[in-house]
Amino acid sequence: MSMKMLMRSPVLRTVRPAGRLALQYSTNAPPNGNQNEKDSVSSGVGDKGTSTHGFDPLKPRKPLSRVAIGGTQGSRVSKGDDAPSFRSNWMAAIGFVLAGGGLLWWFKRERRRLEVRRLEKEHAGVGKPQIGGPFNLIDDDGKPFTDKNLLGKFSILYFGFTKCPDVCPEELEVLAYVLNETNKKEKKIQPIFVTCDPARDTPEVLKEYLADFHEDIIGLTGPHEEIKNICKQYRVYFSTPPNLKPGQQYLVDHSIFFYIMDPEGNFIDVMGRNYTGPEALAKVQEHLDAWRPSGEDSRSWIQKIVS
Amino acid sequence: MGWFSKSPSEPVVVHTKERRKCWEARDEFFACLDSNEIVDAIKDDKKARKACPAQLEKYENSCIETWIEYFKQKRVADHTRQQKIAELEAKGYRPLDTMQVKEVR
Repeated sequence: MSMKMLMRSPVLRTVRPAGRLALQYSTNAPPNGNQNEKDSVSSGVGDKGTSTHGFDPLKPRKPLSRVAIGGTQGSRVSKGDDAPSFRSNWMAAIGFVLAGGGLLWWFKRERRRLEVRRLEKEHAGVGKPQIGGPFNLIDDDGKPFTDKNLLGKFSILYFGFTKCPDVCPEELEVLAYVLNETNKKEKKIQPIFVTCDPARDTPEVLKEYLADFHEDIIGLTGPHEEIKNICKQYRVYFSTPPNLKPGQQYLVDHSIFFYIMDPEGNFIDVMGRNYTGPEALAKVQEHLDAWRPSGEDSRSWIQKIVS
Repeated sequence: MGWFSKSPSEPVVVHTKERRKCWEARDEFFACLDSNEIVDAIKDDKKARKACPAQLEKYENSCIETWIEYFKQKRVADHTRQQKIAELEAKGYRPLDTMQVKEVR
């Protein structure tokens, strides 16, 4: 719509090269310009079969299908029905700017999405994933929970223990901040807290502890060997003090990262302690938007253009 | 020694409410230590006990045993760290923006 309107604008019309030629012929034309135009067309084309394929330089010929501007009196006074009004030009300009702006915005967004996706794939590595893998634990209801339970939705894993004095609670509050947004309408993220202190963190303890932060958080525990296994898979370091007497209280030293896993169980990103709630939310949101099931990426035609 | 007089049975779960209470008592105690220029409340236990008796009692009553010890140790570690940073910055070193580094790759 906007293109058509622009073509009709007087400014564009004056620069048409055919204008001069038309002017020459139309100076000889009678005042009834429109009538003359029709005649000249039929006479020019009507002369078939000659060596010049109908072109006779002596006969007036219509240069283009439209009457050029700059013709004599009456040949064309551009105040007819189809003359562009100020209003329609104005609307065309707005439409043009809006359409252009929209396209630009979409293009930029898509480019950012693909950049995030590229990093996600980079993190996933080639072949066997570097982070994550099979595990076999029990959740805070005492039911089995394995790596298969990570499939079908995004998960955020955090490793800690419930007697953690400052870091874990702060980080769980960051997680709760993210979940309050992402899981408001539908549960887009499955948050998981894996204990590094299975001796004290039973399913009941985990359930009671995690309820304080966000109702969606699933607590995982299990035998010491299984906890050691998952920590190894996720490259989590943890250490309980040696030579503990029964009943003696202790703290567990452990690494503190959030692991973002995609619905196919692949690792996509990690977040450290330097993320505040809003920063973590922005990052998670970016991954939710950017991610596509494997195999669907190649179908993205825009990818070929922007990369 | 404060925590030996406490009942030996610890709560199984430390809830958010109790944790906040503990953190608050800790901050009050540490503020008092600051104004008395005491860094290490374990080494200078006697000094701390004399300078901030009320705050210390509240701190010991609000936190679980392991945390009481941990926060005191952390205070010393944080202090050492701050001193190191100040030392380095005096020499013209600037901290790395870790978020920025990740973006640039």
